[in-house]
Amino acid sequence: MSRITNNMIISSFLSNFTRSQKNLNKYMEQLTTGERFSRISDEPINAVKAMKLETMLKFNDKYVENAEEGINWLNVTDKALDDVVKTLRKLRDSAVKAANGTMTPDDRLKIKQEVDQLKEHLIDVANSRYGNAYIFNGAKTRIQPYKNVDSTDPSAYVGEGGLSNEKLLRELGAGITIEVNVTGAEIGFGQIFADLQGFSNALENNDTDTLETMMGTIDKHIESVLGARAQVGSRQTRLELTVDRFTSQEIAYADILNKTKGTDIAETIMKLKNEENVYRIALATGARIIQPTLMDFLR
Amino acid sequence: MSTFGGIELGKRALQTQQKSLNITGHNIANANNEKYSRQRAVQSATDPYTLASLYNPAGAGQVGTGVYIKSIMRMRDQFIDTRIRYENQGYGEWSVRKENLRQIESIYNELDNGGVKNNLDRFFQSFHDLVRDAESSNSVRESVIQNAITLTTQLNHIDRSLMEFRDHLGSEIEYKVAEVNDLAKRIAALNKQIKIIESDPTKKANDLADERDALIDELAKIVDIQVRFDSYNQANISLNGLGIVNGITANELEYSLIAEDRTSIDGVLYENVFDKYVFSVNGNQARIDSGEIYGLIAVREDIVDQKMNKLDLLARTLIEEVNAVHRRGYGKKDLPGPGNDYEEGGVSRNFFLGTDASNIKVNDDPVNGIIGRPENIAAAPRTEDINNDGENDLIGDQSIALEIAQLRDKSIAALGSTSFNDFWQTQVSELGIEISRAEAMESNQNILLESLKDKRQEVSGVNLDEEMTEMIKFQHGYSAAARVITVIDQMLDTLINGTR
Repeated sequence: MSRITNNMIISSFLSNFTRSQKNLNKYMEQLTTGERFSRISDEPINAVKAMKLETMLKFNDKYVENAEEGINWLNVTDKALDDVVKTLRKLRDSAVKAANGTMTPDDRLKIKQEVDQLKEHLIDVANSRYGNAYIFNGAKTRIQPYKNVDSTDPSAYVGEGGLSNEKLLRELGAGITIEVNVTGAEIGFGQIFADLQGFSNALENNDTDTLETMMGTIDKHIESVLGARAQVGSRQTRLELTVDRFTSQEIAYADILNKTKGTDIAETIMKLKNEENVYRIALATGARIIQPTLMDFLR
Repeated sequence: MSTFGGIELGKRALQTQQKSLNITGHNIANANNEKYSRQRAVQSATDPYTLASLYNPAGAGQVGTGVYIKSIMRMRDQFIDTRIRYENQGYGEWSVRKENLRQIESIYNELDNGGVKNNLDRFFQSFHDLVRDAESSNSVRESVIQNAITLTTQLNHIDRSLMEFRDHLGSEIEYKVAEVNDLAKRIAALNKQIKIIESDPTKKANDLADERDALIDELAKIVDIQVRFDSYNQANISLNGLGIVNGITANELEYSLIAEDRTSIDGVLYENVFDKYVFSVNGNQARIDSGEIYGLIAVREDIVDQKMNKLDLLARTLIEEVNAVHRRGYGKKDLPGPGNDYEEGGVSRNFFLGTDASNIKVNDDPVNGIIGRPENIAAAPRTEDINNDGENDLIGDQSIALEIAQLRDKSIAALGSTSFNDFWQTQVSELGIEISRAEAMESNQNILLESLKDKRQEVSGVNLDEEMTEMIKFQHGYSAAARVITVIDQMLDTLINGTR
């Protein structure tokens, strides 16, 4: 028969009691912090998983910021191109009017004034900015790309700092980049300005031969600008889809993250309640067992 | 049987019961003494007296002469002791490992916002911001610099903390060695006293043996010892074959530090940075394979060294990778022109200086540095200055910054083809798993040890109820013996005073 000694009873009571208290403390901590673990070693696998998810969420935010900035940038570009197309259409109407044989040189001079105004407007548009950045000058975002001169040479319109054809990239995911800018050269602003100057000169000189070709020239430009606009539109769509994707991913990741490290409140409260019972019972049993010895029955 | 023999018998009975009662008292007094083993009086009948008679010199059997205490027994199971000592070594080793690995974990402090992972994230995030905010003022560039400084300072700090922790573990080892020597001396001294007492075979040095066994248990927790008892009940203790307690002499366990050159995983030689503890007894090299000292050495010379190595690797790779990209770039005011004989593709400016985690820092060169000169962050891949305003015209293209931001996901051969973040997370999770293993081992050892201690208590522990029962037994024994004397007294009274 194995002997049981008083010390054995007390020490086993104490160790059970401490364990119960430890558990109570653990559940309490989990409930008050809302997190299942406070140290990696508590649950190494889940902790590292949570860390990974947190990083993914953080960089998702960056990618969304990148994409949203790209969208804004492209919106400005799109508005500018829209403006260019509308202006070119007006100029086309003028070209149609000016080519009409019934026009007098005086009438044509009036049209010339309008053309000059519209050309100036187009140069303004070509110098559009997003924030502080010139959107049609590639990498030279600080530098105004075009200036207004009266020349039929396309290169004469280039500003003091020169033109840049660089593409500006934004990252939309690990290793995935997208161009956010359209360069002035792609749209052919220089040629547009030069041709408009030719238009204006022809109006001034009553050069009907040139005026007759002008409509076709402007149509060509409208087409190429529309082509650039279509590109912008498709990039906008891609960026918007990216934002949507990241936003729904974020919800999914946040949910997984919560499951990985968050406390399951209902479960933990149940466990806490259960442990509370164990704790009470341990106390009650301890009080009963430890107290009486034979001494209580001897006089 | 003589006339007064009965009184003598009664006296012996009284003395024996009284002594036994004393032993019970001693047991009760030590009920809460953890080192104590309960004692039992072994009662034995005294030599019987042979009655002589006329026809038969041996008479009708023998007449008893009473009782005496033959010995006082110490209730102890040597086998359990051996097992407790053995499990104590494992417990010592794993609890030390667990405690100290936890310390490393708190040096890393990874789940906190300030962990290396978060700072790496922030560092790379700020480069993303730089890509987007090319032409605004220097505020984004400043935040790049600040995040970089936070990261490097933290790497420096962890490296220094690990080094300090390594030193701390060293002094802990030395302290434990001193404790071993102190325990060995005390055991030898107790051996001496026990030998003197037990050279009389009827005597047992029970309480001294308790004291000594407790010291041996303590010693077993620190180093892996083997214990052998000789015929004088002296404990001879050896450490993997080398005697540290031989009877009444204790041999000093000595340590020395051997400085070592060590080559890191990626082939960098560290001269005399790492050192190793070597132990000896009487000039012979001693092996320590378990116990607290072994646990401390394992943490110090395996885990901390390895972690420092990996931290250095992380820092070194970060320096190399970021610099390699950054050197290809141009800052805001890096312009082509006479005197600026840039190498092919870039101004060759380093973003980080240093070689490992102990000295990594953001380039703080007074002329060509980055700290205090945010314009010097070389984020643009090209430079020109056609408008002669003293600034790089091509600043809108920040693809160098983008390349640095993309380093985050790059799998780097030097890091075992993982990214910076994954490499670090592997470190952290390895440590976490190591800790949970140590925790599990410690708790297993603890359960084993507790159950063995229960077993020891079963044999050696004092049960108060039992002692009270014994007490009543001896009390009644005493009263009865006294009654025997009274009856003999009355008998003698009848004999002496009644016959006249």
